This record gives sequence, C-alpha cells and structure tokens, in this order.
Amino acid sequence: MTKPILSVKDLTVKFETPDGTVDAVKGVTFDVAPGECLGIVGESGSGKSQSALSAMQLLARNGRAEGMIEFDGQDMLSMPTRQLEKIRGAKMSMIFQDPLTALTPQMKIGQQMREILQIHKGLTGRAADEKCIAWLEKVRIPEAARRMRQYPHELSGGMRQRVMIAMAMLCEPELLLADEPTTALDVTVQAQVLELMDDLRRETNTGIALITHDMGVVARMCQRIIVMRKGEIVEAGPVDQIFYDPQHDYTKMLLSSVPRIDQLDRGGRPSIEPIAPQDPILKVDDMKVHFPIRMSGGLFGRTKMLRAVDGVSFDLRPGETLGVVGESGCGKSTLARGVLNLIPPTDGTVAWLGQDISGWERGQMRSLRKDLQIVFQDPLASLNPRMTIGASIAEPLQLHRPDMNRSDRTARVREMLAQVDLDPDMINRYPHELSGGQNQRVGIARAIITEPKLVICDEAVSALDVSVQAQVIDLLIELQKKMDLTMMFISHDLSVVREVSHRIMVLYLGRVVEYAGRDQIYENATHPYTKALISAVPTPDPKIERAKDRLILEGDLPSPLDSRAQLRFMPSRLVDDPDADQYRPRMVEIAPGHFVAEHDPALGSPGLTA
Amino acid sequence: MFGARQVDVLAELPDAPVKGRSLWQDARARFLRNKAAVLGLITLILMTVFAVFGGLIAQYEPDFVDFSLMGANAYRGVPSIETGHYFGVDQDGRDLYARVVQGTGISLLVGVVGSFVAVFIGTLYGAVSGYVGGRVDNIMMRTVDILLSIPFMFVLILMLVIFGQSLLMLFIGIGLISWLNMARIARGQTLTIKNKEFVEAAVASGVPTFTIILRHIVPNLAGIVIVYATLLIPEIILFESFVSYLGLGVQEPNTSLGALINLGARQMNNGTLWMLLFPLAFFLITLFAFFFVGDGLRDALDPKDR
Amino acid sequence: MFAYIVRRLAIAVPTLLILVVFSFVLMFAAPGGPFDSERPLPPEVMANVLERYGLDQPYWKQMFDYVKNVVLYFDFGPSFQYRDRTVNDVIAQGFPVTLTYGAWSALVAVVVGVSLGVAAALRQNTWLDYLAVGITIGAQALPNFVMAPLLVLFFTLMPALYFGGPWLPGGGWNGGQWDHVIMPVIALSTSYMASIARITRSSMLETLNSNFIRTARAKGLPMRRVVWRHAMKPAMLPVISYVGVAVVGMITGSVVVDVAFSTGGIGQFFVNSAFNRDYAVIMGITVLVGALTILFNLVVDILYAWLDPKIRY
Repeated sequence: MTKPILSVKDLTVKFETPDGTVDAVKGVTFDVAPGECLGIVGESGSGKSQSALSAMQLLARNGRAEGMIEFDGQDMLSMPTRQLEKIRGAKMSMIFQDPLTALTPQMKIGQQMREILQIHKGLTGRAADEKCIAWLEKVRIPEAARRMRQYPHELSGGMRQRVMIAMAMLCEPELLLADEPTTALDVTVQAQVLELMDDLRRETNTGIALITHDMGVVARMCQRIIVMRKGEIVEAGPVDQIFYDPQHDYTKMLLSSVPRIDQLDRGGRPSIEPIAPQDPILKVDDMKVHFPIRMSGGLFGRTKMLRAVDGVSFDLRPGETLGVVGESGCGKSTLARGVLNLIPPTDGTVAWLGQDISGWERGQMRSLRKDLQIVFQDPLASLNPRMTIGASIAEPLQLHRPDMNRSDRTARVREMLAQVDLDPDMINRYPHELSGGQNQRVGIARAIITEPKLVICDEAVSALDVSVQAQVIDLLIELQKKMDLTMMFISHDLSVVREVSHRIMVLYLGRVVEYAGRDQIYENATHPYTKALISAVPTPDPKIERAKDRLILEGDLPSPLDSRAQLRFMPSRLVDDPDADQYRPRMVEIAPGHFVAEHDPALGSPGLTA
Repeated sequence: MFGARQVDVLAELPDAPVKGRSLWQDARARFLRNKAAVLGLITLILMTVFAVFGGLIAQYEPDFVDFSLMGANAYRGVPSIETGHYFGVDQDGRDLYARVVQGTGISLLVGVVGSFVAVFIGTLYGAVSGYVGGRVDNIMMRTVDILLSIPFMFVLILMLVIFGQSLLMLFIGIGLISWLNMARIARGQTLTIKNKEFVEAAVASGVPTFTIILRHIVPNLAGIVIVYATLLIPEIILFESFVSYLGLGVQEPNTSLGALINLGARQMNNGTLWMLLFPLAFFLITLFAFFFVGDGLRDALDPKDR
Repeated sequence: MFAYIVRRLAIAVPTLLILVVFSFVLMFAAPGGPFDSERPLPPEVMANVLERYGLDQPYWKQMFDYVKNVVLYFDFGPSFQYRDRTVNDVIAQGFPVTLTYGAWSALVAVVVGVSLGVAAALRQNTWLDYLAVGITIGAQALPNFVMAPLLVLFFTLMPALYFGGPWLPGGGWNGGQWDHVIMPVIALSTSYMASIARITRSSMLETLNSNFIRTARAKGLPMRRVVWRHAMKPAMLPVISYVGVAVVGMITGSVVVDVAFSTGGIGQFFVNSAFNRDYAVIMGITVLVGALTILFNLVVDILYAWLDPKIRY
C-alpha cells in the first residue's frame, strides 16, 4: 500500500456533559490511502462521525480528542489554528449529512464558493468565478452561472449536496471526508451523487473516508471498510472480506439485517405468505387530493393547486400487504391520509367493505376507526410526551370498547406489550425513557389493540437503525400472520418494501406509474421510472455492485406545482406551459395483474402506448 | 430490546410495574437543581409572606399621618427600631414600613392578577386561532399584529385620564395589552403540537376533537404557558410601576412600589434617602426573584431542550 | 421587495386610522368635557369656547374634521390648556428634545448591546462572558424610572454633597448640551441595552452551533471571517425583531425621562396635559407616537426581510 494520506492511531474522543463524561470514541486506528475510498460503517452512536470531525479538528466545544491523527505526515492534534485553517478546505475537506442546513442561508452560492478560492489560492474576480462555474458543471448542476447568484433555499436538496461537493473539491483536496453524504437524499438522487463521487475519486486520486450506516452504499463505493460499534472498531478489512467472510458477530448481524432488493431469502427470519384471491376489502378509485398553495408574485399573490395525489386507483384483499413506493413529494403519505379520511379526498371514491366512505364526517368515521389504524414514521413524535405509554396504547380501547373497565384495559395493554416484545412492566413508562425501536413497538401496539382489519404503516421503519428495523419488520410480518391483518406499507425504501409486500404500487408525483405483484415489479420492471428506482438502490454485495449496469435518472425531482412535471416520462405529449392541462397517461395491463402507465422509450424501455 | 424469552420470564414476576418518570417530574428535578431559581422561589415566598403578614408587626397604620413629623422627617423620621418606624417615615409623617408592606402587596397583586388575566385570554385566543387555522387564524393574528403596533402606554394613560384613575382601570388597561404576546406564543405552540403525529394518531383512533384538545394539546401547552406567565408577572409589575411613577397609576391612600419610588425620588434633595432606597430594594429583589424563577422554569420546561 | 413594502404600508395606514378613531371615541365617552370645572363658566362664554374648538358640532363631524386636518395638513388643532398655542406648537417645541436623546439612546442600546452580546458569545465561559451576563441580568431590572433617580443620586446629589459640586446637572436641557443629554440617554437605554445583549448572546451562540458554521470552518475560513460573514446576519435576526419592541419601549420611556430630568420634551407636555385633561395635546401626541411606532415597525420588518432571503416578498 502507498503511504497513507491520513493515519489515525488510538484516537479517543470524550465529551464533557452536565451528566458526566461521555466516551464517544475509544481507541480507534485506521488509515486512508490516496485514491482510496474507506468506508466507516456503524449505527447511530457508534462514534463514526466524531472520528471524522476530530480529523478536521471540528469537534463541538465540549469535545476533546486524544491519540494521534497524522495528515500528510503532520500531526493534526497539536497543530496551531492558523496552520489548521490552511489545510481545512484546501487539502482536506468535508461534506456533511444535511444539505438543507449545511450552507449559510444568507449568502449566495457564488459568495460561499468564491471565498474558498480567495483565502486558499488568492483567486478573486472573474478567475474565481470561472473556476467555481467549472466545478458546478462538473458536479452536473444545470445553469451553473445562474446558480452562483442564487441563495441555498432556492435549490433542491440534491442540488445543495452537489454544491457542497463542488465546494469541497474546489481546491482539489487530497482527502475528502464524507459524513453520510446521501442519507437525506432520495434514492435516484443518491445514485447520482454516489456516481459523481466515485468518478471524482478516480479522476483526481483523492482519498475518501465515507461515513455511512448503509451497507449498500459501502458495497457500491469502498475498497476497504471499518465497522464501528459504540466507539470501537469491531472489524476492519478489504470490502470483499468483510462482506463475504465477516468474522465478528456484529458485522454478521449487520449484514443479515440489511434488507436486500435482489433476493427474498431472509435467512430463517419470518417472511410473508401468499394469500388466496378474495374480494377486496378496500377499493380506491381515481382518488385525488389537491391543496391550494399560495404563491408569491404580484401584490396579493395567487393560488396554485398542488396535486399531491392525482387520480390513484388500487384495491386491497384481506390479509394482503400493498407496498407503496415513491420518492419525496410523490404523495404516498397523503394517499394514506386520504384513505383514512384524515385529509378528505378532493375527488374519487374510497370503498371500505363495499361502502363509499370518502367525504364522511369525523363523527361518521368514528365507528370505522376501530378497523382502520395507522403507524407513523417518527416513533417519538407519534406518542404524547405527557402520557405514559400504557395510557397511549389504551386510548383507542377507551373509545371503541366501552364495555371494558379500567383493569380489563390494563390487562389488555399488558398483553399487547408482550405481543410486540416489550416488557409489560413498562406500562407506566414515558416515551422519552424508551429507545426509538421501543417507541415504534408502542406505536404498533396502539394500532393493533382494537384488532383492526387494515393497518397503514407510513414509513414505519424508516427512522430506525438497520438492526432495529429488521426486528420491527419481523414483528409486523408475524402480527400479520397471527391477526390476519391487511396492510398498506408506505416507504421510500424499495428493499424493505420487497420483504413485506404482496403487491407493489410505484408513485411518481401523485400518479401511479406501475402497479403489479411483487416479483413482477422487481424482476420485470417496465416503466423507466421503476427501472431507475430499482437500479438506484445499492445492493449490499460488492460483486453485484461492481457488475451493475447503472440506469441513472438525469436531474432532480421537479416541482409538483409544475403541471409539466408529471409528463416527464412522456415528453411526446407535453404542452410546454407550466399551467396547462396536460395529457394523462393511461394505465395498460401488460400482463395479468401488471399495470404500467403509458410512457415514451427511455432507459432501455421500448415505450408503451395504449 | 427485549427478546421474546426474556419477556416470558419478566411476565412471571409479581405485579410491580416500573414507575415511569413523567416530564413534569423531570422538569421539577431540573428546576430544583438550579440554585438561582430555587433561591428566587424562596425569596418570592418570603416576599408574599411579608406582603400578607408584614402588617402585623407594623406599629402604625399605613394611612396614619403623624403631624408632628410632617416636614421634619429628615431628622426625626429616621429609620429606627425604637420609634417603631423601621423604615422611617415619609414627608407626610406616614410610617414607611407599613407603606412598603402595602405597596409590595399591591404590586404583587397587580402582577399576578394581570398576568392571570393575560394568560387566560391570550392562551384561549392563541389556542383557538392555532387549532382552527385557515382564514380565521389569519384574521385573528392580523388583529394581534395591528394591536401590537399601537403605543399602548399612551392609550392607557389617555384612558386613565378620561375614566379616572382606579385599580380596575389599571387592570383593564394592562390586561388589554399583555395578552397579545401570550396569544402569539400560544398560537405558535398550538400549531407545533397540532402537527405532531400523536395528535394525528388520536384523530385516526377516532378521539373526539374536544378530548384531543383537553388530553393532547393543553397538557403540552401548559409548560410554555407557565414559563411565560412567570415572566409576564415582573413585566406587569414594571408596567404598573411605570404608570404609578408618573403619578397616574394607583391613587392615595393606596400605594404601590412604583408610586413609593416616585415619592422617594422627589424627596432625594431633602436627605430622606430611605424613602427611595427601601421601596427600590423591595422592587429590585422582587423583579430579580421573578426573573430567576422564570429562567429556571424555562430551562426546566422548554421543549427546545428535549 | 417593492410589492412587500406596499403591502406592509397598506396595513400600516388603517392601523393608524384605527388609533385615531379609537382615541377620538374614547374622548367622547369621557364623563364631563374639558372645560367643566368647579366654577362653571357663564353660558355665553362656554358657548363661545365650544364654538372656537368646534365642540358644538355633531360628533361625526368633529371626528371627520379632525382626521381630515391631521391627514391633509398635519394639523392637530388648538390646545385646550395653553389657550394661545396649537398642539403643533407644543410638538414643535418638545419633539426635537425627545428625538435627540431618543436617537442617542437607541444608538447606544444597539451598539453597546450587540457588541457586548457578540463578545460574550465568542468568549463563552470566560470572565468576559460572566461579566456580560452579570451586567445584563442586573440591568434588566433597572428600568428608566429606577435609573433616573439613581443617576441623579450618584452623579448630582452625592458629588454635590461630598465633592463640592455635581458632576452632571440633575435636570434641564440647555439646548441639548452634552452634559444634559448624558443621563437621559443612560437612563433610557440601560435596560434595553441589557436585553439586546442577552438576545444577541444567545442567538449568536445558537448560530455558532449550527451546521453551516461548521461548514464554514471546514472550508478553512479564519474564525473572524466565519463570525462576520457567516454568523452575523443570521444571529442578528432575533435582535432585529427585538429592536422594534425596544424602540417602542424607548418612545414610551421618554415620558418618564422627560419628567424625571425636566428636559422639556413631549413627555412632559403629555403628562401635564394628562393632569389637566387637555385632550387635544394628549391625542396629538398619541397619534404622533403611533405613527412613529408604526413607521419603526415597518423599518424593522423591511430590515428583517432584507436579512433573511427566505422571506418571500
């Protein structure tokens, strides 16, 4: 191996907090070579971010790093600030997780980029501008010159992250530290950003330390990996060795927890069972949910319609799970709320057991609520912080089982807690005393305590660490079998959806683009968007990742307020006016039970018209 | 995380559920750890005791005028234990100790009652505005904005001049002004809570609207309301003192700390400094105590820290 | 931006009108007129007086005339108390005085407050920080009517007693000479300076902990540049909001300062008129102050919008 650009030995990081000293990193050793991508993997609280921040000497004020960090042969820990500032941003730069807050909101993109060149290279004026624009173009930002004059909030999340990368690369650093650079992005955008980083590494021979929790991203990007847990390295080695011959139990557990988009075998863990064809219990026909949005402009502004859900039809059979997949802004959460009448649909019908319930008043819905339940994304926010978890779980019972008295209810709640693998004695605990996974189990217990027929899971496992995520998925599958639940499983994560769903519906900007049985979708994706979406998900398997033929969708998700956006995959019918009534692609049944929206040829798809 | 087997074992244990610590208990513990806040609270309790029972050890009534001391208080009305004028006498020969007891009481009363009125109106207004939302919210909040940009002190003085100076008028005037900020805070907090998933979960379970407001919104609003109510009290005391200082607030024979400071300040030239310093000391100590308690409560209850 | 200002003005004008109408209604709701006194005037004199002030007209006509005169001619009518002067004369005499030390106070409060707050935030948990926090906590409980007598005590009375002469004059204006301005400015600005310092400090600390500051440091910018170019604007947002409140507070507080230091500012006229039921002067000053308040709120809002690109005009 060539001489490492960064070498860390016995690094410890301690934080002084009012509750005592916290050891975030306990003796970590690793190297990064030029042109190499090192993956630092671990779940939340593993100390992976703090290790990177210490390398930059950017720890929070109450943090202290000890040990040895050498960058290019220089000791970073004892270096005076002035010298550090010469290295930061010039020879070693960093990309952060949250692109929404990582740029100064009051400064234009151009200002924020130029100042790097000014202080490190003494470059100003037109020369600096040209270099900035060149880099913005290199990270594939369209209309780069105009972006220079825009403020961060005027750009989308993916665009901002690319600006961050351009800023980090501006002085062609020898080392790039990337802290969860794609976690906040949609999969198709993540695929673009990862591709970009990989290309840059090859072109410039920059060493990259990639910090992530996502094994798929690691398989896609890295040559070597260190696996961290609770501030320590549990395993380190070349990527193939870690993936195909893991030694440590934690690594093995991590790898087996990761849902895989390319295979169904869950290695002995529970999986869904096929269901018998039956009459549907829920039938949604041409549902629309539109919101008026106030726009700026003129003295009083004007209103535009946001078509969050724009004509979605599907049905659900008893005991079945329908996976609803799409990127942010595709209307999947609004769809769930429309079905439950939490947001009244603007148009269309929702037939529950043959009865149209759309437009029912709150009072009318009340009797139905017993059968229709929902589990939310954020485990902590979905529980009232002032109520014990027991009281939260018992609340639906109070309403729907007036025949039960207090002690009956308590007994039932304890039973439910055991059902979701929680200690029944935790009944008097408060949400802030529980972990995220435990709180999500409480949310599930609350949803199933009335023995509902339909449970909608709205990104129910997205906020959890992989290992916890896997446990909660197991739980949901088992509960479905035990209680014969019908489920709608809404997620942005295609791999998770594959594990739990019988059928899958792909949404794009409020419309269905493809709707079919699980295997049909994953093995025979027909719509270009579905194809791009599936191709974008990184597989936790380095060999597959290396061999993969990538279908990269160009550009960002467009604004849902622009009526042209929905026709992105059928430009042949486009009327070029953002307010025009556009053609609505029809659904075509290409095989029994496999529906695809009309589209033009793209991404290896021959195109389809009715 | 509990494995299934562990759960079985635990379920066989005798019925002894773990007692959870509610956020209120957490907040109380945090508050009690804050020394300045606890000191402030003790001071406030002592101050209340002083205002309520301090009159019992006074040797004179607050409105008793000792003509022999009138105009001669600079040398014969000096604070002294022997004469029973612990804080001395004022230029009219009245016992300053009794007057300070009375003034402290009225200042505290105005602060607490005014704050109570403001919190009641403001929270109700803000919560309704925030929960109903839409056009109603827009109109209600625009109204608050407009009212906030009116120089109320001047309007209040105009009202006091026109309708005569009375405690009632003062309460109405202060109440009219102080609820505005409370309404804004309550609205903001209601909006935040309303959009939390636990409220949506309650709606999805079919919980009636009124129960949602009572069980899910109000308890979560309570923390912030308590904090701002505590911080509002010293503000209103300041406000009242301001008006009284100008001679437009509380009228004789009643008095407040602001009015006493006014009288003391006017008599500075005569060498009767105690007339300024005693009321001033009580005024400052009360304000500080409220500030510290308010800050302590904010640190303990503010959801930002969670 | 232009549309935004126009829209804000469209709200400001009705607000002011509401204020005028409200004050006027209050005046008519008052029991007893301005010329009711213990010794009633002879009826013919009374009629004469009422006619002169237009008080014999129907209420709506009086109100209409008043609003018309204020809006079109900036004329607040004659004073009831000072028989030979108009309200405009009174304002012309008192307002420059109040404006002089008011402007100085605002400047001192903002400049000292912001500097103190920023310094404390940058040197968190050092003696400088503790000192600043101590000063701000102390000064918060020192409103103008407490500061005024204390200042007179320490700079006028005690030096006069023990050092042979006052350091600063205890009152008067003397054409706005600096030694007459200094105490009113300190009295008026202290508590607002403290609040501004406190808000600046906490806002700056919060900003310094934000992600974009970490980014700026990761770019290798020197700390000074990070603070000035990246942290200053966002940290100033809450301060700007508060400055609007503070200015209104100082306008109000000027009444106390005018009284306490006998400066001859409008506050003194205001309080005198309040005791003498001179509605014309009270209303005139209230409307003037209302206009000022609304104007400052407008300026603050525009400043805020300028500092925060996320605000859509």
